[in-house]
Amino acid sequence: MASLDTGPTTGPLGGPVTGQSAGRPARPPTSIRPSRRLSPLPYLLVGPSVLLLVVVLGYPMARLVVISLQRYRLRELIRGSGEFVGLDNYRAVLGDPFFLSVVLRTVVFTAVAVTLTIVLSTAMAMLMRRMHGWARIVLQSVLVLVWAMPALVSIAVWQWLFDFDFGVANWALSSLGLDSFDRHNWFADPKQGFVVITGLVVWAALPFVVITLYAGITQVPKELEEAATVDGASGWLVFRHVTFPILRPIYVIVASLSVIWDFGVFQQVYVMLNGKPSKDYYLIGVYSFIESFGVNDYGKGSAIAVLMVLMLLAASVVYIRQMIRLGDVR
Amino acid sequence: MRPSKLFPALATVAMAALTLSACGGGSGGSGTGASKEPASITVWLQTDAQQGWPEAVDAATKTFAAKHPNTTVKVEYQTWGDHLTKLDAALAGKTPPDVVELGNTETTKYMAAGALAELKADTFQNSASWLQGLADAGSFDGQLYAVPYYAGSRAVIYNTALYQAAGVAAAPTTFAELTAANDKLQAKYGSDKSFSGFYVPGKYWYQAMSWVYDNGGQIAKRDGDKWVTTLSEQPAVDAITAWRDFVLKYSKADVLGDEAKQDAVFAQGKVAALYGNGWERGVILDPKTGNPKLSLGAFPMPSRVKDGALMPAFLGGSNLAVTAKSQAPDVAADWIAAFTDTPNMSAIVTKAGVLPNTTSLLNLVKPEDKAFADAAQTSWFVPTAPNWANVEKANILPQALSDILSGKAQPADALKSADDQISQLLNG
Repeated sequence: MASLDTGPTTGPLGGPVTGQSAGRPARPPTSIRPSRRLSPLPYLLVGPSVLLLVVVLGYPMARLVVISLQRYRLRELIRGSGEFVGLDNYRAVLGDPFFLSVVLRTVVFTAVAVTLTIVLSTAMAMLMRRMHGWARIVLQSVLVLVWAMPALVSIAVWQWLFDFDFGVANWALSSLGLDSFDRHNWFADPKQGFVVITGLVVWAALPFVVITLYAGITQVPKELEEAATVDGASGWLVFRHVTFPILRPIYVIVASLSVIWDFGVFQQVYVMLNGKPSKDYYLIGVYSFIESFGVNDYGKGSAIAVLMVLMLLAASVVYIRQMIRLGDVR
Repeated sequence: MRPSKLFPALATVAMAALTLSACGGGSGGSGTGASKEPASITVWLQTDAQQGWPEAVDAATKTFAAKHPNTTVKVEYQTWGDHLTKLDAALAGKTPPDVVELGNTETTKYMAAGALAELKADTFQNSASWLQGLADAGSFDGQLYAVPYYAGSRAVIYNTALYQAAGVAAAPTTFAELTAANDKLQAKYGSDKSFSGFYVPGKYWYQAMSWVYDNGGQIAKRDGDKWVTTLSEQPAVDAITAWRDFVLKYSKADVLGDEAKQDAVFAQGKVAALYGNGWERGVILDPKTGNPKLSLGAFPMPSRVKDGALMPAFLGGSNLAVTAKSQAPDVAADWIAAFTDTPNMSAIVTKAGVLPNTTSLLNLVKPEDKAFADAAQTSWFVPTAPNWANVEKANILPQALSDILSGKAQPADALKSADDQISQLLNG
């Protein structure tokens, strides 16, 4: 944040965009440091959003931390005040092997979902570059439609696709002669269930990532890639050594965002399993919700939420550092 | 999409925190002493009343107004999906509703947490003949907190055309007749592998537990201030073993599914009978979600162990309570008394086809609803332990039952494990 005292504080905010303009000549460095005179204007401009963040995020976060240190159940909720119990809630959560298994499951789920999202999006973005105009427009419209679909609606659709009695997946697979899929329960085996849930999460995440990557790819100078091809590089090598390095900042940001989103997955599990997920399906977001609002142990639920925020903050360090670096370099 | 998306996940957490902190406030001053005539009272009812018996609500308010002319009644309707979340938030504030409707499995944790005001049974009409299942749900430690309102009971709903075609002339009245009917149906239609003579999804624990209570078993019993779980005792194990054999023989339902979809499946015409609430017939016959061409019959589930008796049915229903933070608990209780008096109860029963809160009015139930009224005469209820909601949330019983049906575990082992988990939660 060292660059904050200089003029263009908008640098970090423009971070991802600068990735797209990587091919353009950098702005002359002189324009970055117009004068050392301290002006109140930047603070005035940033003031309202800081205030909003404090009200909307800061206060609830503070309450969350306070409640996580209290015994806070229905009785305390009605009374309106909890009873401080120090780190008891954290001790209970961290001392429970089940919590560790939930964290592990969440980490594995996030890793798989993010990897799939990035790989598939890259493939689609590369494909879009080779498409005819009309095909690309169709694909882009479809992507935007997927993007526009509210999460709850898409969950309901997927629920129906994989329904036991009426599901399209079972019908299609058994029509193809796979009789074991006639009236097959996809959620009986958690591994299979998570395949469906991961499918839904990745499917819903694709539009944003594909469109972002495609925007980036269109900015990669054609000459560079052509030169590499002329030198005899295969398609993969061109991507590996020319395209990817240029798009690197975009990849870092898209991957960090996906990690944050997928780590906090809640509805796709909770709603998909009709609000009654068995313990094999607990991800950390689901666990926190059920402890707080299902079982009315707000203290323990808050402790889980605080731990979740800390883990996400750790994961976000990469993202924040990249943003700062982008701001600094240019 | 702005790039500064560090926050969506944080915002989710923050939103949860906001919900929590919205419940802050309030210094907990509740002792208001003798209740004077308030300017108004607020009543939270579920939308069932709004759609099914709005006249009874108006009539109650009129009766109430005669006694409390200076108090206006504000009725606000809630939906089942989110009413507890709203209630929790309202209870944390300073002015929660005065009267609140609670599902009978929802009452215990509020009674135990001190959220509800004490009531006196003899100030309400028909309190001597209240349905046992509802009266149990409204009492904690022998003290009444929630007045029985109305009930719904489960019975066997069957497809009369399929029964007749298979040669079953009359509705079965004993367990032997029921299995004989199932055998006939299975003989006629069994070659269709998606046909169920008697449809029971594996996680339908209200169905399975009826067999346990029928055989003299129960889920848990109270011993002093502890709860002793009893599902691993012989009566329960025997009952669940018989249940497993029955379900595996006659049902092709998903052993991992619950009863949420059973009406839609029934409407497809490949299910001869299912176990359900009276209102589920409406879902089956609904032109949009079901099939209005089907002709339905109903009979109470017969007891497996005693001829001429019925298998106890889980009694679902609603209770009405006064919140402990109400500024005028006595006045609020008067509204409940007016709403549950004999004329209003009669109107609710005849109008909506639900069961009244008292056995003395069961004779008003229409002939086509008789099976459900009969089923309500013998009923069972979940343990009234403050932590019972946690047992339901943890899905212990559905999990054990589907493990038994899928062959993952023997009844004795699965029930022993369920017993241990339930014991831990109830006494935790």
